[in-house]
Amino acid sequence: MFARAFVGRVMKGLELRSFKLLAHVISRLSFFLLTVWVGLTATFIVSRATPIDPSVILVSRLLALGSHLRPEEILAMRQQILELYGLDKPVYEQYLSFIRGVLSGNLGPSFAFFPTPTIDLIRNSISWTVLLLGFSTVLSWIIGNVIGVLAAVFSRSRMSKALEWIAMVLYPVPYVILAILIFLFFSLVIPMYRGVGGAGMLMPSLSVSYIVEVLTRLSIPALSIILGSSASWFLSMKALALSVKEEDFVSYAIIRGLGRKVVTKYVMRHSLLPQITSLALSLGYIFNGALVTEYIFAYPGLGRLLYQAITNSDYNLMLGILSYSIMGVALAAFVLDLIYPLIDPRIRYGG
Amino acid sequence: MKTSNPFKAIIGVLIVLLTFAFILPYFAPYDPRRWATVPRDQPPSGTYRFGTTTVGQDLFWLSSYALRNSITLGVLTAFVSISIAFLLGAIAGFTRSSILRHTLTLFIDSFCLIPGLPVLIVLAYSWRKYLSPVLIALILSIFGWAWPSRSVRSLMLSLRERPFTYTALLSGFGMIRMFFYEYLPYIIKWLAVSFLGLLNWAIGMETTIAVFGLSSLEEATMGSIIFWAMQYQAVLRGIWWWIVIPILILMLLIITLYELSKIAGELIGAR
Amino acid sequence: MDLVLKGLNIEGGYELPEVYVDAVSNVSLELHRNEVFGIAGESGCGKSTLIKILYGYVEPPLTLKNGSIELYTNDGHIFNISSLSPDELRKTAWWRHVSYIPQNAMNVLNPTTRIRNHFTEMYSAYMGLEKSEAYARAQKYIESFGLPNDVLAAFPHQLSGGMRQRVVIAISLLLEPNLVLADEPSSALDVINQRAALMFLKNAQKMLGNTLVLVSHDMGIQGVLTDKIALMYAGKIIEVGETPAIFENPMHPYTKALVKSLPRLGDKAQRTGLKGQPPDLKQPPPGCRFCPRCPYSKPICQKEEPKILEIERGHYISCWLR
Repeated sequence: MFARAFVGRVMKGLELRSFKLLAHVISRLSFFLLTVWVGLTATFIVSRATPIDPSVILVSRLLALGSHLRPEEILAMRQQILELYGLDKPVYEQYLSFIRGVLSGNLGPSFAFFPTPTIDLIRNSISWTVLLLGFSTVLSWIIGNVIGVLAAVFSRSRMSKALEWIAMVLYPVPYVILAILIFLFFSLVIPMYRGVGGAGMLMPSLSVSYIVEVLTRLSIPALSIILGSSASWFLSMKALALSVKEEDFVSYAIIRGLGRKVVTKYVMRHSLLPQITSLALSLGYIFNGALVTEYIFAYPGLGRLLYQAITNSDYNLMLGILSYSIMGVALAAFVLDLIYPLIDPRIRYGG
Repeated sequence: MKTSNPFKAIIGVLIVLLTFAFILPYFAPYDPRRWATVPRDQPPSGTYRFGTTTVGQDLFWLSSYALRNSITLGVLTAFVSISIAFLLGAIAGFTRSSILRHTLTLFIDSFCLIPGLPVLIVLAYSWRKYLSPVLIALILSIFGWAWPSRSVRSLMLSLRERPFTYTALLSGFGMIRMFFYEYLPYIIKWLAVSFLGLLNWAIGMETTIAVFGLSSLEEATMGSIIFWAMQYQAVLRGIWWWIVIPILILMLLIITLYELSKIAGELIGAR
Repeated sequence: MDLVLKGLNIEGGYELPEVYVDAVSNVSLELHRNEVFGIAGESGCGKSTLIKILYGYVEPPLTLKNGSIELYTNDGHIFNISSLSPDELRKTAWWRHVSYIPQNAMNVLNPTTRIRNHFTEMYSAYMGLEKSEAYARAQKYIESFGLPNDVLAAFPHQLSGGMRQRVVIAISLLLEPNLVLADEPSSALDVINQRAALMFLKNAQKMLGNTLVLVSHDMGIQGVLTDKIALMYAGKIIEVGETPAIFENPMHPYTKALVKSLPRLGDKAQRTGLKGQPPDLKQPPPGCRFCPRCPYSKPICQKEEPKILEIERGHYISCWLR
């Protein structure tokens, strides 16, 4: 009773017309926070519950690089790491400082590129990853869903069945294998492989030549992701659209004599809604695919950075990449969740 | 049991692969993992059916051995994941407490959203020294359970809401008896489809981690073969069989398992 | 031309994987101008199937096995509905000369589209109008029905069930067709909204002078709104007549029992129902389909299907008694 009045006041104040909209936003916000919390906690546990000692790694790393360190310097360095990880403090304090560090962007130095802060390395790579990921995800979602709807509306045609066969071969194949296959294809069969990712030697600018260069180098790894993802969206959309086709409002459109184009529009609009929700939740999985694709194609994003971190035993960098990957994916999903009401009038104008 | 042609073909391929993986290794004339047992870089021929690697391994026997490891690892992962998924999903679906249901659902969904690969990589890196197929399987299971758990939950929710559940409860059926007689067919179907799906996911995930260099050091898996091939620049040097053959085998296995799961889904149809 | 629709020997049903459901068996009827024709009967008697067949919306698993359906327009054109495909009907007869109000009409509006777009889609599909012109047209149209203006801007879920029903009725009359087929246009509504929707429909019919076919299991509605009633049982029409005659002088044993079971003002006698169930249409019985439940059945009723008798002018029954 009291809560209702309070919520009503808040809504009036924010000029929100729909209770459902408010509920939706709050629910997705809490999911976002929960996901970030679970993810960062998992990262923390992983980083502490290990049989390795990060300070030892750092020192041996530096020694391996051939730097000659005096015993006092080694001690000082180990002390720095100890403070960074707070390994001398109780666990909950470590946890809090870890969270604080992640949220403020202070993750400490990279082990391999000591003393460059890891955050700088991540910042350079993350925009490339966002570019590849955004580009491929949007394209494959659109392609897969549009073709899926058409295949459902024209479900008896041969093309529809042929496409389904192709999708059923592409869909189960893991991103890593698809990436390698595309890589092999463009290295051995059609040597189009000029060099991938980033922009070669060009300096960042808004010129057409720069943009063209970026896009050309982006296209092959993007193709690898798009092939796998489109197949997945195609299959799920076709099944979804087939069931939407059976709904009353679709047969009413047919009865009214509205023709294939309008019916397709009806089916598509209605089926896209669950596909957006699906996209929001699948972002983690797609991100995994982007990571491994970047590695295979040596594309200068987080994937390649992660591989470098592994080969360089750069433990701190790994943790940084992990933390920001989780937060990035959760944030992207949250943004998508906010877009959803714009398309579903039942939430936007719900009672 | 359907005896149509596609079904027969799929079972056939599966039998060939399983034989290759589990029976053949016993006939290997040498330990395929050891380096320098055969001449290096030989293309596929009569003597070395799949060719040889740059470090002197017979790819044919090595693949057979690695496939066994990959499949076993996958099965173990699928088994552990499905158990966790079933437990959490069933609670989330069946519980009357809406707080528990909502929290558990959010928790499951968060594990679906969190990108598992970086976590698994960091974990595998930390435990590099101790990595064995069993440990890898356990590590993979940390994320494998999430998506299947969602589908268990919705399965349980739908079963719980069915009219016969209420009537059965009202007419005094014990929960356990009801569980077995009414729900079992749906659950078995779900288990079959999910298990195969998980198996595919696990094999793919293991390959991915191996390609990053984080697989078991002593045991060979399909993924680690690919990793070493990449390390030795196999493609650039023209030793294409070292990468292509394991990939073809993996694709064959994965597509076959997927087709099988589709058939399982249709066969064990709902009443 | 007074005749609007002529259906002869219509046989139709559902082709299921292992069985054929004989839903409409040997139905013939005639519809005339400016009348409200009711089709009554219990659930499963085939009235909805018949309506779909009359409209020509025959999509698998529904099939038309036999029969001819002819639609006569004002300008002398004849559409052979039974022989045209849904695609052809869409381009020629649908909505312009015959329209359809489906069952469950409250839920047939597109949840993600505003009401006004439902109208503009029709205007643009049938008259090629531009959006702005279509909007204006829709506005005037809605007003002519006495519906509030802000209905157009709303989404279906923002309107009440009764309002949605009236919108669907308005849509059906958009192109002023000769014939409107309404399948249970009010069953899902509460009594008050039911009355409003039905009066809405009846007034529109009076205004336009067209033919309205009203399918409903509710005899009360049939009694108030229709001029003629056809009663269906197990896929067959068992009695047809003018509404007053049906209620005051029911001839067929089924109709007799049905009318007797209706509550009447002042009559405090106990109501009785018929024992038994309608036959399974997957394996319909030979002979008269009502025979198993009929209190007057003769041996011949089991063996042969009764012929159609004209009892008095315009009043037909299908029965062996008489």
